[in-house]
Amino acid sequence: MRKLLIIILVLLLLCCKVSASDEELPTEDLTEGLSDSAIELLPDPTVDSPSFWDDMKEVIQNSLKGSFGSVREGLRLCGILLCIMTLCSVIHLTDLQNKESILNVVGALGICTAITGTLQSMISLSTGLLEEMSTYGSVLLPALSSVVAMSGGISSAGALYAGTVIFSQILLQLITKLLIPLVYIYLTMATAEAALGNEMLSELREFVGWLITKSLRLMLYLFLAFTTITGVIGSTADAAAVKATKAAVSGMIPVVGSILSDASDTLLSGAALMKNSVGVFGMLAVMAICLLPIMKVGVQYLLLKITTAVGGTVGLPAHVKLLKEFSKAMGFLLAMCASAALLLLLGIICLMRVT
Amino acid sequence: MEQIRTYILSVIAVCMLSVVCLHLAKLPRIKAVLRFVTGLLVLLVAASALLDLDEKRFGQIADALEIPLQLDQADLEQDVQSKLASHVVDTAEAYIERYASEHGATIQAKVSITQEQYPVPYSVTLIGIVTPEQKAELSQYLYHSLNIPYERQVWK
Repeated sequence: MRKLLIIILVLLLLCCKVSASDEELPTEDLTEGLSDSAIELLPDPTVDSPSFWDDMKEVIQNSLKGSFGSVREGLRLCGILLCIMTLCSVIHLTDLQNKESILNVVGALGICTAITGTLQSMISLSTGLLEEMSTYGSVLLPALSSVVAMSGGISSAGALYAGTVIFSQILLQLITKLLIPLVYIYLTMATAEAALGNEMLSELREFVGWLITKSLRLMLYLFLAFTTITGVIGSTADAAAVKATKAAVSGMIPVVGSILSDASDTLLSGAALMKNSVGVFGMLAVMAICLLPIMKVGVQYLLLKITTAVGGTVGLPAHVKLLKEFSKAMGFLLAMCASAALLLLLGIICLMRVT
Repeated sequence: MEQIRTYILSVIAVCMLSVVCLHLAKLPRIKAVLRFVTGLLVLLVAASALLDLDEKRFGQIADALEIPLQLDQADLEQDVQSKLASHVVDTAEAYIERYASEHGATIQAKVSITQEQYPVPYSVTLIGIVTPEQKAELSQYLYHSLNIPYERQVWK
């Protein structure tokens, strides 16, 4: 629920129209760090776009078309998992000796084997997404910060740029070097718990899950706090700089002051228009990078959840629980991708909102 | 990050080993002994990393978090300053050429500016054919309105 509120808040902040500008949008530079698949999802880059929502709708529609293949794969996987669970529960009804322990081990290993391929591909997808966002961030953020600085927000632009880069790099390293290995550990413990049929590893498994979710939340909260504080301090410094400029101009010979004032206004107004255009294009590009992978992981997560719910009626409790843990692991991956995307989007929005 | 991962992995590996050993043991007495031994082992592994912590290690962790930035505040300020300077030059040249055309002269002005925080016109090179009266009027305008002294006005 909290995540949904944050997403809605972000979308509300995006309510801005793209304005016309005499200057050309540097689209070649801004598409430098994008992969071919992301460029295909983007609408044609024009300065006179009808509205941000139309462009975003186009990106979402293109992403939805691209995610259809993963729905088919997910459904196939769910079918296999349901077959394994049904088979195990049917064997459970027979009079075999030691059937409990044998079925626990065989069923757990069967479920693990069936899901491993999909999980591995989702992890590769998430890692690729994070690296692509990091690469694109290194192209977009300096360009956007320069334009924001020229539009009058020198202090804010510098601080926000530094903060966004540092936080996104730390998040990338945290996810790739710590959290993704922890997901593997989480699943290993869940499988061992299901196979051995005891609860001894459950506390440790829950701790690992807690560590993953809280790390992501902490990073996002820290970044939000940083942008809020920087926004206040930076805007104060920038307002003081504007006042100092006005005072200096008013002390000059009228024509010289008029020249300086006109030059400043030209720079500020041109940069403000460019800031909006670059920022909106950047947001669309980030959405084009992350929406398709997030949809693919989200589809797998949703289908595993549905399979757990359906499997709960026919499967053995240990197997149902294992499937629940696998769907949680998919949820962790989704959270990691979404956190990285949200951090970059929030950084772009905060830079755009500097006045 | 690698150190944290290694630490967590080692603790979890020992815990899993203890669970497997306890699962394999059948007799209650052996289970009790194994539980005690594995508990000590887990405690040892968990505490060993904490014993290695000192100020130097925290310093190393802090240094590892330093991330190089492509831009810094000085770069941004320089960028803004150079763009502002360029606009001041364009605007000053436009002012001079407009004034000249209002007084019947067609000239091309090339202005150079100071390198201060608020750049202002410093000297000007004027290219074009003007009458002596137009030249005198334009020179006075440049001196009184733009604060460019006569010795820094170059006529070509």
